[in-house]
This record gives sequence, C-alpha cells and structure tokens, in this order.
Amino acid sequence: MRAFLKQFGLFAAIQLAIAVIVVWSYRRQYPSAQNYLAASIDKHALIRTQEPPRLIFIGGSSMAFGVNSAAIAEACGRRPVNMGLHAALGLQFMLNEVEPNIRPGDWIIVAPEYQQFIRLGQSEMLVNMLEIDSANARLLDRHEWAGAFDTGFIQRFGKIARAVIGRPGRFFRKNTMSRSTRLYYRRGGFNQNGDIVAHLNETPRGLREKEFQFRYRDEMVQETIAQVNRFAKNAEAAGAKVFFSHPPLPREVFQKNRATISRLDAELRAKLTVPQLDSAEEMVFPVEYFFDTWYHLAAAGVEKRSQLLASRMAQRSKGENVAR
Amino acid sequence: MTFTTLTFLIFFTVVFALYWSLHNRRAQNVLLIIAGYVFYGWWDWRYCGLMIAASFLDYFVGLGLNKTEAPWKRKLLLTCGLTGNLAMLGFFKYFNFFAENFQALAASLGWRVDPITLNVVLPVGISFYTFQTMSYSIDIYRRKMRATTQLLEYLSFVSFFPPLVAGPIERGTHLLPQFFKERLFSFQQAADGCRQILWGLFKKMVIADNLAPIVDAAFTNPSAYNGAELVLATFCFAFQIYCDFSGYSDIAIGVAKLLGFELIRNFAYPYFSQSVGEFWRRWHISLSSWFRDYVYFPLGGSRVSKPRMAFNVMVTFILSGLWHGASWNFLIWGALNGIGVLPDILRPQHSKRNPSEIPVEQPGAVAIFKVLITFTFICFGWVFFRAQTLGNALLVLERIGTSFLSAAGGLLGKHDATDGRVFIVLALLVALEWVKRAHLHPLVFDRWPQPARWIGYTVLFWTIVYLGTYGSSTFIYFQF
Repeated sequence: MRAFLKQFGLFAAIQLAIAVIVVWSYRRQYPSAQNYLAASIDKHALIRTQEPPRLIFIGGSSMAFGVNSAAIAEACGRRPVNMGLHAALGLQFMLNEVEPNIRPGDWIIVAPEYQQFIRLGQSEMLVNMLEIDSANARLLDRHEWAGAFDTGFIQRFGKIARAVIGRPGRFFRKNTMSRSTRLYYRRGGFNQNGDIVAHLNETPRGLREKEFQFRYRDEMVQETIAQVNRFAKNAEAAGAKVFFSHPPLPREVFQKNRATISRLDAELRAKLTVPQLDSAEEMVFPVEYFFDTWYHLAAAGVEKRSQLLASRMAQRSKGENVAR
Repeated sequence: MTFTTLTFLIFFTVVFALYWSLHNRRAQNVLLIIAGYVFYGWWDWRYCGLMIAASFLDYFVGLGLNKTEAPWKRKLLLTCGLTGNLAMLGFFKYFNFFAENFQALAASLGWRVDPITLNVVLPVGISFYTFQTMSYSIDIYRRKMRATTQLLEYLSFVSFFPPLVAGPIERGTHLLPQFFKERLFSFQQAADGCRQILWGLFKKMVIADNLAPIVDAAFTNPSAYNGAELVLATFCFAFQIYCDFSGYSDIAIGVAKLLGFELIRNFAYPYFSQSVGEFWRRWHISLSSWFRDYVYFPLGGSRVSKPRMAFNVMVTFILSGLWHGASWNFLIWGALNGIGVLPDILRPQHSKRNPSEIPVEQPGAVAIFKVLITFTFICFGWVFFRAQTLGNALLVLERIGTSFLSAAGGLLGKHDATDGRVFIVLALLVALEWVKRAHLHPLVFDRWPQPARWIGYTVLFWTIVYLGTYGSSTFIYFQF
C-alpha cells in the first residue's frame, strides 16, 4: 500500500506541477482582474454603495449591452445600478446577487434572456465567478454547488488547459486576449453604472453565432416564473418593487421563434405576479441595431430600448405619485 | 453519481481511504454497502428502495432453495423470484411500451381504448442489478452454488457500486466469493486498476463525448442530412457507443481493482471480430453470456436440430434486443444480430472460442476483409439501435441508399467541436487496441522503463484534459 501511495502521489504531484504551470501561463495571458466577469466586483460594490432611490437592472449580457441605465433611471427620478453581466450565470445567481442588497424604495427591472427560462446557470461560469471573487460562494445555492462539484470545476480547468495547450506559442506571453476581448469584453468596458459602453462608437459587427433556437420546456418555464415571483415577494417584503421586461431580439430571429416565444409570453401574462413593462414584440428591433450577437444592442438599439423603458418607467413613476 | 465527475473523485477517495484503513473484512463490506447506496441514491434516493426489494427477494429465494429438495418446491421458489424481478423490470421498463402498442392494435381493429400509460421514470441501472440477482437465484436452483446465509456479504455483492448501474453484470459464482475473502492490497492490481481507469476516461471523455454531438445532430433530424453524412454519423455512433460503454466498464473494473476485486471482462476489442458471432462473444460479454447461459442453453442451445437451433438463436437475440429497451427498434436490432449470428452458429464446426482466446496472429487479406464486412453489418444494426423511431431508422437507411455519393463535410463542419482532432485520436485508439489486442486493456507497457511509461500516461492524461468533454453527459447504458 505504502509503495502504491508513494508512486501514485509522485505521479499526481507531477500532474499537479504541470497544472500549476498551465494556470500560471493562463493567468499571465488572461489576467482575471481585468476580464469581463471581473466587472461583477464593481457591480457588487455599486449595489452596496449606491444611494437610494435606486433603479436596479437584473439580466445577462442583454442588460449589460442593452440599456442606458442612467437615462432610464433619470426618467423615474432614481439612481441606476446595472447588474447585467452574463446570461450563462443563470437567473438564480443573478437574483441572489441582488436580494441581500435590496433597500426600501428600490425599483428593480428583471429582464432575463429567453434562455434563462429553459436552462440553469452553467456550472463552469459559476466556478469562474468563484475564481474572481471567493465571496461569490455565498451566492450559489445547493443545486449550483452540486453542479460545480459534478462538472463545473473540471470544466473550468479544462477550459484553462485548452486555452494554454491549444496555443503553445503564447505560453510565456502576457495579455493575449482577442481583439474583441481587449476592446469590449473587459472590466474596463463598463461605465460607473454597470453599462457596457466600450462598443457604442463601434460599427456593428453582425451576428456571428449559431442560429438562435428557443425550445420551450414547460417544467423549466414554470420553475423560472416561480423563481421571479418568489424574488418579487421577498423584494416587496423588503419595501422594493419589481418589474419585468423582455430581452431584445432581432426581427428575423423573433419571427423564427415566434410560436415558442408567444407560448412563453402567454404563460408570463397568466402566472407572473409582477407588472410587465413591455411585450416581447416591443423588444424586437431591426438586425442593424445589434452589435455582435442577438441580445447585444449597438448604440442605436440601446437608445431605442432605453427610450421605451424610460417612458414606461416615467409612467410608473407618475402613477405612483398620483397614487400618493 | 457519474464516474466522470469531481463528485465521484471525492467520493471514491474517501471510500478508498476508509476501506483500506479498516482491517476487518466485515467492516469493509459494511462500508461497501453504505457506499453502494450513497452512489446509487445520488441519482434519486427513492431508487434505493427498488434495489433493497430486488436484493431481499433473491436472498430469501436463495435461502428457500437451500432448504428444500423437492423439485416442484424449488421450481415454485425460482418462479417466484424470477416473477418478482421481471415484474419490477416490466413495470418500470416495458409497461408504457405494451400499453401504447395494445392501444394502437385496438385502434386498428376499430376499438377505442383509453391510454393507460404512466409517466414512469426508469430507475438507473435496474436492468443490470435485477439480472445480477436473477442469475444468483438461477445458479442456486441449478446447484452451481449454495445460497449464502450471510446477509452482509450478499448485500455487498448486490450493491457493489463499480458495476452497479452499467455492468459488467456479475454472477454470484464469480463475485460473491470475493466478499468472503480477506482482501490484501496488491500493488500490481491497484496500478493496473489506475491504468484501466485512465484508459476508460480517455475513451469516454475524449472520443465518445466528442462524437456525440455529430451523432445526435444526424439522428435527431436525419432528413436534414445526405447519405454520406448519415454513413459518417453511423460510423461515429459505432465508436461512440463502444468508447462510452467499454469506457464505463474499464473504469468500473479499474475502480473494483483498487478495492481488491476482480470483475469479469466485458469487452474484448469487438470491432476486430471476423464474424457477427465472434462480435457477440467480444461485445458486452457479461450480457451475452447471461443470455447464453440463462436463455439460449435452457431452450436447448445447439444440442437440437438446426431449425430449432436457429429458433433458439433468434429468441435469444430478440430478448437481448428488448433488454435494451421497449421499442420496435431494439427488437429489430436484436433480430438483425440474430440473423447475423446464424451462419456462424449453423456451420458444422462453428467456433466456440471464448473471448480470452482472441486471435493475435497477423491477419491476412481475407481476415481483414471479414473484419470490415462484420463491422459494416454491425453498423447497419446500430442504425436501428440509435434512431429514435423506426421511421427515422428507415429514413437514415433510405438516404444512405439514395445519396451515398455526396459530401459529408457539412455535418462535421457544424457539429465537430474538435476540428477533426477526434478522428486522429480515434485512429490512434484503433491502432493501439490492435497492437495490444492480446491484453485485457491496451495500457500495458511492462517492458518499457518507468519514466517512459509515465510520460505515456501523462500524455494520455493531458489529452483527456485538452480534448475531453466535461459536460453533464451520462453514459449511454445508464438508460438501459
């Protein structure tokens, strides 16, 4: 037994040493303090320190790339906190980021991407968030921890290894991020309210990804609606108000998925307990309004969507004042 | 809990450490029972009830068979045991299939029958452990072994976690006695176990899981692909299922070795077979031999007339097809393989070579031709195995037949995430398995100096890290 453990330990130590070198090279090539997800550190600081009355935006990258939060907040006399970051984090994680920081009088717009209704957060992405800030551990629920242990940690390490081994020429180099990462997908690409602004003066690059397909999954949809309702109930108990908004989509993409999105919309109208600011169709824009993928709006799209949301929030604000 | 997860690594590390720190065989067996139920209950704790039911049913049937000599009583006891196991299997696995088909038959006769299907979830591995416990009762009935009165050892045997959910399907005669022996840690056995686990992980994570998206795309929507793409998808499935299933077996056997147990061999390089009969002696050996011993032989085996022998073969293969699942596709797949085996079986001097006697001599052109023909036939059967419906299977075959001479690049371009590297690795796998076909698994480099061996293992490990897929995909055979 002792001989086996000695040999096995030595072999494992060699692999561990290689792993350490791989991670070291990765960190040099892709410094995590400056990467896109590291913007969560600033967003968490913002939600802790922003003075009330506040308008908090929850969503994935469609929220990060998709609004002028200051203009919308101004329309209803509030200060913006845009928590939008990445759809793959999953809605539960996004809600968990905000819930402990809700203050009386907060207004919150929840605008999940359509995928949030049919998919959970990606374990690898959640492990990446732990890597960026270990304090994020408290934001993971039981299922997310199980996913992280099942596949997340291994997936994350696999991704790091692939990035390093796949490009041996860059092994000793620093900051080897792609052009788009250097320009937009970085911590410094956000403004002080949490909106991505680095891309606003750039020409839209066209949709590059695989075809968007929204496959309706009833069980997940019901669970997600219940999740938003639970969050709204807790927020209300803390003196805040929650609204729902739809994510933006290019017209062609929407048309292809009209049937399933309409089915989702019908469920939302029937079961969501929070007011809806818009319809799915109102958030459909020409493809030229999108920057590099569906959900990511370019400057013109950001302006249009923000105008619409600002007018809706202004109405809500007036309604509230009248009611008072 | 799946072998390819960090959760399993942590689980096994704890079990391994506790197991070898216990110096009492019975304490080790208790630990193995707890570990087995934790491992199995990880999917859904309610499944554990089924395993307990299957265990106790055959335990008491075994005790009853020990005590009675009257043939009719013995037969009655065995019938009770088999009925109980088959009822459990039938309810969870076949109820919906038969109810739906009965409804369709009634509708074709003009009767309207309300569907009575239930939304029953198939418990993971039920086909494996019920077959294991059934073989235990049958072997006692046949007086091949005595039933154990030791409940602890018996429960350890049924719930032993490495082969629990996807085999190899163990026999009481082989595995149970190992629970009564003191286990001594063997360096050679443990090191070999580690090598076999590494090889299993490589096959599963690098090859099977990288081929899966290509196969899934083509078989989910075959009408979107041409004949050449569907041929490629079928070829990919042949290696996906081989690497997935034999990968699981390798890991299970390796893990068992680390605990001081020897499981039976489940795969013996089946794609090097020169006939369909030989293929079935080398593929999923534990199931093939189960059907041979408990279905084919009782039907008369080959000691009957030729037509009766052919009938026996067909019944055995159709049942083996249905073991995989309740669908017409599996039935046809089983029947096809039965037909494929017939020429081999009906020959006057047919080969009865067992898998440990794999031919290792250099084959001539004729042998290579036979291997290719056998592989093509097996792939033809895989179309039925993999297609979601009979209609889809026929569509795949129709498109292969009508537009074979077309380009297959589209499928790979869209769904091969490795940019073709998986095919290079696959070619290396086939080459290595060919060179090492005399061994139980290919990672046997006894003549190499240790540094060279370790470099080889390190390259393999980092190939898994680099090319592996770490999704939440489970093993294909979990669904059976």
